[in-house]
Amino acid sequence: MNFFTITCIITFITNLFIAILFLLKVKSKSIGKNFGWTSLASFTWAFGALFSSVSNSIETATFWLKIAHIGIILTPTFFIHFVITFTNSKAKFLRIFVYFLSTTYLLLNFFYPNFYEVKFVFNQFYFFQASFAENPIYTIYYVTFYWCTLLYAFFLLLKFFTKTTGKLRNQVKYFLIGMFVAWSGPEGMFLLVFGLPLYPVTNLLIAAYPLILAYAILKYRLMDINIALTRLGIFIFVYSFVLGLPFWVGIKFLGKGPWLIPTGICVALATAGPFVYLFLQRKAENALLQEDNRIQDLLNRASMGMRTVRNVPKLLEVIVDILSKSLRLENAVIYLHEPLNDEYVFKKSSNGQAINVNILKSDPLIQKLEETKYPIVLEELKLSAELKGKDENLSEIIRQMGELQASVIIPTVVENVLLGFIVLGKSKDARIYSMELINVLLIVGNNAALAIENAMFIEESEKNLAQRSHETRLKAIGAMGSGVAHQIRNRFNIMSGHTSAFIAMLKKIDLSNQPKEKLVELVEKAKKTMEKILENTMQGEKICVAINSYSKLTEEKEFAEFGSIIEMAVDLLRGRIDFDKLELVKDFPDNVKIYGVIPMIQDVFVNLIVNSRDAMQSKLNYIKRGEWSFPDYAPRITIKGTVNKDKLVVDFSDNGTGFKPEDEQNAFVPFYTTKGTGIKGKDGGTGLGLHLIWDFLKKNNGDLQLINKYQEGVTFRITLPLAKNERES
Amino acid sequence: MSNRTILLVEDDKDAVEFYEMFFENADFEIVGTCDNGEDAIKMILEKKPKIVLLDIGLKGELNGIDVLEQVKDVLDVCRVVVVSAYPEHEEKTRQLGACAFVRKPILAEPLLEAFENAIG
Repeated sequence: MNFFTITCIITFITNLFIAILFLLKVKSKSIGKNFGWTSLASFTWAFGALFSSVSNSIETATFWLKIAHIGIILTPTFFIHFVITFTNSKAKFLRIFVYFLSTTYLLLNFFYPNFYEVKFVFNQFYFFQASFAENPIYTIYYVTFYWCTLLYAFFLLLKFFTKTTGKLRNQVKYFLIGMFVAWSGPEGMFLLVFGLPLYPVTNLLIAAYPLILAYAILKYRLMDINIALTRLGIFIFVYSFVLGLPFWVGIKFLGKGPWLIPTGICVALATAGPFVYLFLQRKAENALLQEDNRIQDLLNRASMGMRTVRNVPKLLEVIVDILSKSLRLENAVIYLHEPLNDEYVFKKSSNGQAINVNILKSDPLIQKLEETKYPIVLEELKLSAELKGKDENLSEIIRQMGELQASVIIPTVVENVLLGFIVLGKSKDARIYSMELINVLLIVGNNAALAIENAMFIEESEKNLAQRSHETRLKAIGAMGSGVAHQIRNRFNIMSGHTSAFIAMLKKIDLSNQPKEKLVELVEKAKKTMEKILENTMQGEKICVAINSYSKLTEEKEFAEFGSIIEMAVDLLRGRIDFDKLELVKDFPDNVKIYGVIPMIQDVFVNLIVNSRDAMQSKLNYIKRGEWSFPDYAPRITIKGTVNKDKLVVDFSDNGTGFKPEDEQNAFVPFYTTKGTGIKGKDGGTGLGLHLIWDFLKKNNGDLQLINKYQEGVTFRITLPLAKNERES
Repeated sequence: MSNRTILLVEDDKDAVEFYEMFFENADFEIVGTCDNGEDAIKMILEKKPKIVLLDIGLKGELNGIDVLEQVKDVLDVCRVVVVSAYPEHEEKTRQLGACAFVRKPILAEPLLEAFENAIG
């Protein structure tokens, strides 16, 4: 035992500590592992040096120094690898080259006897030495490989340091200092190798750098380690005592000897022991808890799956599906409460078969579920029936479960109300329902209840939206009524006018003695009259179709040609808006079919047109009052449609006032209006708010975007799903 | 100049077509047609037709009632027959000096009768 041995022990311990820390605990895999390997190589050096320093013979010492050299050669190799990764440098070729060289030197270390010499130094221990004259290869190795690698690594680190800022810069700074201290260690010792009689105290520096790193890790969270460091710190501290003390006592009283080898191995293995133990323990636990994990997974999947489904029938399908698949059941069925008859009725089964068993709310099964709010397991029930003896309620529940083909019944409860229950049929692999599994199922049941309630709520509110849409349309029809009636009357006027003009003409002439030419002329006139009648009939019909479609209370999605929707909207508004006074530019492809609740979409455009008309009227008023100057202003609405993949993108633009910037933000707020209570009396603020328009579009899987320029106009960018895509899905 | 000259003020082209049929058959001379109030006023003042057939709903800023108000000075020369689908306009237009009010839908006989009466 000498001072060098002590430095080796310290270096051995600290490097092992750092190696384990980085190899096992650092989250950043490539950085952590690469640095861990560097420390492991340093540890190998210390390990070999430790045993060579206590060797009694030159042969033993040579063996241990060869081991130490594995560390000496691999430390710079792993270090440069680490630095390249850490600094994100691209030096793949260099890395390969360094690995190639280090492999060569490793071979030389073991198979070339003249690589270096081993001598007894300071009258204390065996150490390796080299000189250029006698060991030229070692000198070349040291200068070219060792120095070049290290210099380049530090060059990369410094370059990286100058580029980084903030937290990372601090991390790199401490890392640089740590590495500088660490590498001063071997450099100091190489002086002895090359003949300068300096005691290798710098070995301690290899042990000191972990302290710098530890400080940096704690203060600057270097490489995301914190708790791991504390734990390992305690571990190392305890182990240094537990293992170091007997070692020291051994050397003190027994002196150096062969006992050191098994003891050394013992120390190494004892150090590694806890980690191996922890590793194996985790593996074993994972294997044992596989079933639990699967259940956990089931729970997660169930909850995730349920939360995303908003359509009630679809949700029920998902619930029974998840349960039957996860538990490998022959069937899983869900029953829900039907308030009408106050009974629980079949809703969905995983095998697709309907079961016509309705359970009354007064049945013992329901009473038990309501009372306990806990899953009922048939086997347990049978067991307790046997134990308790005759119990009518119990046997009725067993009978009903048999009728339902249930092994387990899970209640779905929301706020103490039994919304329904889920029947689990026979398990394909004869599963035994453990306590844990039952608890998980209870949670799944309650999650299902929440999801069902949520989906029902959404369904209800969507229904409300449909109703609201209907109400607004009826109101709008009320407002349009006189306009629409006027249009229809105009048609009638034309028809009656033409007919009576023709009849009046006929009355004036005697048909029996007219020349042929005159008769032909009359027939021509008759034809023209009839054409007029037909044309006006069709126009009247179109208006009726538009009203009919517009006033329909429906939630049903249908296919409709986009152009016809616009046309209907315009037809409806014709009586109310003078389309001669505004230019309506229609620029969209023919025969583009969209899919949605057509009256709602129609309503969107009716209201956009009304809103635009109001905005353009306001602009005309501003111009008239001389507040705004737009020479040659002519109101114009442009409806431009383009097909984009599975959507129709409609840019509905007007050249009206646009929104004031402060109004733009509020444009989608319910009940917000920029129109006061009546610009020009009758039509002020009659269009629907944008929030409702947006709601209607959302309901139809569409979207609405506002592109606004105050005083210049607005564009509403509307996306609507195309029929093609919806049909496929 | 014939005393059977008429001016048609009607914004519906189809309606103008059958008016033409009516009046040609009844030997009236159509001296002009227009579909908006501004032109109507101008033409009434310029051409001084014996009878003006005036619709209430017109293109442009002015409606039939506006037109009546503006031409009241020449109403002793020009008789105005108002046509409208809305009976509520009758009283007002009569007050303003219209000599007849014919409800739409228009039939040949009542209209021609009104015209013949207007000429007197």
